[in-house]
Amino acid sequence: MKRDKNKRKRGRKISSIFLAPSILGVLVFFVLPFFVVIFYSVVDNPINHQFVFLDNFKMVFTNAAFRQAASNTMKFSAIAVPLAVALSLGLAMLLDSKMPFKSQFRTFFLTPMMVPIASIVLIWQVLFHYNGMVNDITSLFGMGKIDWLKSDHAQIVIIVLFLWKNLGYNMILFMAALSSIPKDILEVAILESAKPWQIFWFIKIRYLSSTLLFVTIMSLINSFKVFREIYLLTDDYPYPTVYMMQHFMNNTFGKLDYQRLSAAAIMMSLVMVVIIGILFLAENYFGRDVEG
Amino acid sequence: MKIRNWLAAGIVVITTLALAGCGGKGKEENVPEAAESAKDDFIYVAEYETLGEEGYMVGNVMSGDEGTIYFVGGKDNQTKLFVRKMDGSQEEIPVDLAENTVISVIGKDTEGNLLLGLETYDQLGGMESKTENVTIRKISPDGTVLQDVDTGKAMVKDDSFYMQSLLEDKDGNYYVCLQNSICVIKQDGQPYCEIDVGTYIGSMFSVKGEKVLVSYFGDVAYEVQEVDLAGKRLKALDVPITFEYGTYLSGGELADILYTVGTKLYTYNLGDEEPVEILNWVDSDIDSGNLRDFQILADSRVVAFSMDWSSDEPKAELAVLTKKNRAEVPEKTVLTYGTTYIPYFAKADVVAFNKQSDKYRIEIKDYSEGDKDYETIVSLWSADMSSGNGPDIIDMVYSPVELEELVSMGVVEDLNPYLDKDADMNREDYVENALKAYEEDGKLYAVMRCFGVETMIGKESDIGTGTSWTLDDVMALMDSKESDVELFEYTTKYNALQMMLAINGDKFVDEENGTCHFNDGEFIKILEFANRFPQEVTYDQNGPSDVEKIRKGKLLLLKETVTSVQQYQLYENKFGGAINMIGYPTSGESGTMITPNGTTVAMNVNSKNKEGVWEFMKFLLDQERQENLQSANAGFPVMKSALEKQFEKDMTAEYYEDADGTKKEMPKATWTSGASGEVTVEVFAASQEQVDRIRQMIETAGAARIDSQIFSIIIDESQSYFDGQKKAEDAAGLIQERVQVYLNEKR
Repeated sequence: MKRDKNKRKRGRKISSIFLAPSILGVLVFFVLPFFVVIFYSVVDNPINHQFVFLDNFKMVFTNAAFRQAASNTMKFSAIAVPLAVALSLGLAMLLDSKMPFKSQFRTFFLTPMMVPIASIVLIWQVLFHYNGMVNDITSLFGMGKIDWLKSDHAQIVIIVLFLWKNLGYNMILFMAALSSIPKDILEVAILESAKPWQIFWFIKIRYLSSTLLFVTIMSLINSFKVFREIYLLTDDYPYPTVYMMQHFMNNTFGKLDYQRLSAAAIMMSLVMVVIIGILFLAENYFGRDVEG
Repeated sequence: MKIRNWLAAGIVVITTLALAGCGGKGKEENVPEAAESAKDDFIYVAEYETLGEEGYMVGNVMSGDEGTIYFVGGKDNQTKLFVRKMDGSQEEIPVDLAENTVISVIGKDTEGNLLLGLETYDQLGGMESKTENVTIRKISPDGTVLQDVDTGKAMVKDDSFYMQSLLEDKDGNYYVCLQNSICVIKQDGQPYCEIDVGTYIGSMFSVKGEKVLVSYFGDVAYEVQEVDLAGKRLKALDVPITFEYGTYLSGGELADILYTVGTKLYTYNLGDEEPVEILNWVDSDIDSGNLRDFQILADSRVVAFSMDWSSDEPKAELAVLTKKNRAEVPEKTVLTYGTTYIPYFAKADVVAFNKQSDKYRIEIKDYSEGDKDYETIVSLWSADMSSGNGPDIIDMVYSPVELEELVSMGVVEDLNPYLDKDADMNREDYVENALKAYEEDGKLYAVMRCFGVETMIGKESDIGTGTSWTLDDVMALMDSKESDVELFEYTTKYNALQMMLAINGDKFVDEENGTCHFNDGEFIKILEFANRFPQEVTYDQNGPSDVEKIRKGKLLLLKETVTSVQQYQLYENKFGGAINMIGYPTSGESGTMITPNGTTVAMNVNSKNKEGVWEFMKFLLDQERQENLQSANAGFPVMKSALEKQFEKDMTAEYYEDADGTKKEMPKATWTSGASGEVTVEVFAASQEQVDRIRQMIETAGAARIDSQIFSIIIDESQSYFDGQKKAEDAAGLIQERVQVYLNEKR
């Protein structure tokens, strides 16, 4: 008994030694910067370091640009994330069925992942520029030119770009999850005369719940990262409808306004924590009777 | 479990606090200078000496062996050769000169003899004397003539003939460096070849008697090349380093090349991977911009000769730099001067301040040092500023961030309390507009040493005598002229828009309420005005000069930064009549702008030596410094009395006697223009009226403020209008939307 205890202790010590570099890395590169961000968010500026408590948060929250960025980002995520999840699930289901050219379609949907971001932006500029291909095509039907990237239509362009870029990856994740659903359960359901929608809703969705959660979180994170494409397409002060949270943060960082940047980052992370928390609850609910 | 959790939390907190403390609050304030500069334990300490002979003006200078300096002294159209030895003694070397002959240049051969380039003029004195003959004379160091080589007028192509340097190779060929070419003369005085470099030659020197090298600005970069005598051309050196703009000289026995780039002195042996850094001239209080010659002695001392043009009487100065341990040098409090580029005027001011201050010494922190791109430079600068580790003195001329942003970051100190408290200074002594140029919300954040006024200049008959005009007035003027008449020379749509925004940009923005109104008629009118200019212009090198165009009525306005009364006189001359410096078109207020034209600095709020920084600022604004700006065109001094003194000087005529003994007025300044300098304008003492015009222009000038971000949005969106893709209204609408986002974000 005592020998077992000593062995366990020794094992813990050895594992601690192996874990130490990782823990140190996490502390230095994640935990510590987070505390620094909190510190910056409650001081007047990085030089004076005068404690101002929640003033920066108030200032950011009442800032019209921040509100616009938050609203645009929320709108974008609210539309793009469900679309990305639903369309990729649909595609995965389609490719999971018995259809010809499955492999070719899979490759086709994965190609955007291989294209470098600069090239994607270039393609989108060629397509959606004022003198671009889309306007050329619409003009054939007698439509007037639309400044896609500098008008209220800009978010549509960005949503299409987001879907084009992310559908393939999500689809692969869903296809993997679909293939891991036990076949015997599906066969039993068919034998029990379950309708396709019942199989989908009561079996597949339940087994896919953890993948659904993962895909949703990844899509949500990616929807915040769409700034990179928007920035390259439209610069740091774009048309108001595509001015996102990361524009606000990137620009305040550029102006060395660390206190506002930190306050905005904390507010954004809190919102993310709440959303991800809700998603976890949903996953627990839908996947509650699925093993594993 | 709980103990482990507490321990983990403790580690995080301790690490956080430890690293958060890196900002500098805990740093000792009085770090000894030597310890702080542990990177370099040695420093070159300079001893200065004024070089020259009583009454003689120092001309050409050349380093001899072991610290010997040979120089030509000029007085009353006569020249003499002097030698200054390392023991400090100075003597004349007798040189027998024919009538109307002067020593123009000194050089040396490979055996330690001296070479003199002698020019014989048709007459001595006067502005129109011409070179009749050139002789190369070889003399021993004691003055014994060894050889006279008469080259006649072979090298003299035109009136601009000027010998820069002279040397002899081991085969006995003489090399004469002219302004843009190298003439090689054989022993018998016959020309061997002339190698046309096509541009101004920086220097010509010999590498241990084996090779002759030439430094000059090449097509794309600075070049150091070898004279290929057989090919009668210059050929590239096979070396792994690239050469930057600097002063290149022979390294004597010590190295192949001795050179100064920026503020540093290097030695380099051909073929080496890297040069060797010897010293930083600024550390030894030497302005490398004034250096004319330098050499390293065998005992590692450095001898440097410089010409200081900062006062009316140019001062020839010799400095002997001795390498000493930093600990031996009296301690001074170190201030840092941070800049992304070292302008010549700042370097001169820093060196002058260091020389006279017993308490402080300024070290320049050049963020551009090394091979860095601009983005890296800016991020390094920004990181230092935001972390509180920025320099004590912030250069505002090359600051990558606008004053407004520095203020919002809380980086710059309000200088008003210092100005008000200082018993030696009085706010009323300074030009109000110049002080206001760096004011924000009633706080003064930077001071400039001298300034210029940016304005538009035209004939009174075209633009009237008013002090401002509107865009409608400008358009009416354009419409009243023929289509081939230019409003400005070489101006594109972009340039025109930029000009208009420089003074009017902030008029469309209400900073206080965070709103803008770019979609109103006024801004659209600016876009339409800019659209009247061509999309692209090609500079015509052989085309008529601006003077010709103006006088033929083909050019109406000049956009200039006026920095002297002489410049105003020049424009009067160019326009051939009464002119008006009316400024940029505005909606009624003055359209002229004050712009810094010399050292302009702010104080870092985090500086631990604010008193020292203020000392430097005081030094810049000090009466003596204000009254001795570097040259007539350095700008207007900010001190009222110095400005008035400058005006007095501008109105006082100076005279000289020509060869016939006739008293003639000396021109205050001379300008040439046109492809081959065919138009020469000389200006003389100014009249009271001319000075009054300048005074009025300064009094009414405002400050230029255009937010660079707004400017970039405007330029970006107006392009589609200029390209004919969108209407001006649509472009203005987009500008409105994007600028509004920017303004919202700023609040």
